[in-house]
Amino acid sequence: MAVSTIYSTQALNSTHFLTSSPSSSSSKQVFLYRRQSQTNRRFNTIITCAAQQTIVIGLAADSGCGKSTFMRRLTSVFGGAAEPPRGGNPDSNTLISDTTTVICLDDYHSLDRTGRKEKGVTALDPRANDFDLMYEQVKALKSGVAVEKPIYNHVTGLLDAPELIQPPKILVIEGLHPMFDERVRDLLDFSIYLDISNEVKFAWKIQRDMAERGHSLESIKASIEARKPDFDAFIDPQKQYADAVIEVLPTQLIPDDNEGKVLRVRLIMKEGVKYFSPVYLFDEGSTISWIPCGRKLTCSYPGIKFNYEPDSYFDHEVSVLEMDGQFDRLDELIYVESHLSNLSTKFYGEVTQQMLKHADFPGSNNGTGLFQTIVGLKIRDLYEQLIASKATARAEAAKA
Amino acid sequence: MAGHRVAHATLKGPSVVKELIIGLTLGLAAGGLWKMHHWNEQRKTRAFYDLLERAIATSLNIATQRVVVSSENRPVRLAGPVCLNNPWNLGSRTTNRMVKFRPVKAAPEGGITDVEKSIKQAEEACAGDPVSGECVAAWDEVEELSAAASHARDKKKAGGSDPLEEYCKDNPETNECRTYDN
Repeated sequence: MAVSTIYSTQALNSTHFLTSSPSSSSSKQVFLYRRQSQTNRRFNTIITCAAQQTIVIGLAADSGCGKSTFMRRLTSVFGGAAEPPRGGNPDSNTLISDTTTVICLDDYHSLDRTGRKEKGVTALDPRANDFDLMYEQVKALKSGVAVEKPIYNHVTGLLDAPELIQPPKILVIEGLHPMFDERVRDLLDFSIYLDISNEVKFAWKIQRDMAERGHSLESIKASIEARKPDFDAFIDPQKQYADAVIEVLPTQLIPDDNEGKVLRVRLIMKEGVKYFSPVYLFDEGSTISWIPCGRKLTCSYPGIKFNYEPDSYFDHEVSVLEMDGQFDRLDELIYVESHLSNLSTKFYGEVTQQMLKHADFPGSNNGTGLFQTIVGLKIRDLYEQLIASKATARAEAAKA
Repeated sequence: MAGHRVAHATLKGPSVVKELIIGLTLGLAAGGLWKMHHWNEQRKTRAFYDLLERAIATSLNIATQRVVVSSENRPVRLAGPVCLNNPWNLGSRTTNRMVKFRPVKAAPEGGITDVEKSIKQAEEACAGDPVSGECVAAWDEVEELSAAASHARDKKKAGGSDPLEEYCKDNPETNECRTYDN
């Protein structure tokens, strides 16, 4: 992997001159970056030596919709525990593991809490976010350059002093708007949208907030409703760009259920995405309805129901895998795993193992946990394929 | 002949007493240094346990006497043993000086009142005009603070409760945190 490449790129409004990355595993890289004023659009020369490839994953969801749980499952699949940066700001939103760095896009708020209140805009509003900086920094990280990323402090509502982020192997950007800005969207190698239906969102927020002093059913409802117009205008439309959407809906197994405990979860996977082949049930491309509970497997009430079908989603061809109900015992999970194909596991039972490892996370007994784990495995696979293809491309270039 | 004798006298070797004195001095100096090193180690350990005890006491206080803490609205949190001075600085051998507390707002207990306050504010802001930007922004703040409070609760549950674990995560190479395989 000792290939050096020299190439030119258009000037970025960045303040980095020379950055070296001590965190890269086997390869050492040095980047030369000339500072340039915005008006002077000369070409810059970047020299990279055996630069590691950073792949960028985007995860979009509203606040309180399970982004952090998803992130914990994802980093666990990639291996190693993700932790906040050592010795940094205790309120930093970043998580770092050996391979992965997760950054929270709230850090790109251009208005702090007071600023938003004065102007009367929500955090969901693009006017409260600095997409230029987001684009620049994600682009820099993707090309292997460390950045000084601001920190939005969720406790104080202020923008804290920036922290240094080194380019990782896998960069995950999670937040409200990873796919809102076209430039940022184009940088993503894979994107996920967590689509939580209103009924479930309400049930989840009750679970989360009722213990909090001062909250009542009315206040929870009022908060959801007040944010809804902005959510519909700026967050929800992003799902059309996602490569995978996880939809969480109330169950259909129990008539008139509004407890929100049993969930129907749909994994919508876009067809034709490079290095991503959708998971399927029994026969790829067919329509299948499957109830695993029967003679071989006994399930408790309300049971489990799967559905798999080709469909279209915002004019895209997609495969939809749906699970309604919940797992009560381990053998149910193993049985289901053994009937799903194209899971990108490294050994038989890896999905079950991952789910058991984090049995305490919310959603570990239903489709949210299962599909989050599957998406994690697919992303690991995507990363490995991407790296392999880069290596062969390099080898061929060296031969030629 | 005489010259020869004189030369002999100078070669008679060093005096035993002088040797003894030099040896003793060197030994005492080395021993002193060694002892100082141990005093320092002892002091570090003492300071650490002192800190640990205080941390436990503080967290107990937060749990049981919420009123006291929330009235100042800034719960205390450990900042870690900040400076462990060298042993030659004899004036600082009291353990108390080793411990520093830095008030950090990040503790979940502070958030409760914030959420409560923000809900009240939001209700007020919406009393006049329920679709105004002010009203919407105020409820957005409620959501953000509720999420932050929930995260803080999770974090606390996840094992931030043991100050030793927390300290060792940041300082794995210290004596207190060393683990041996056999």
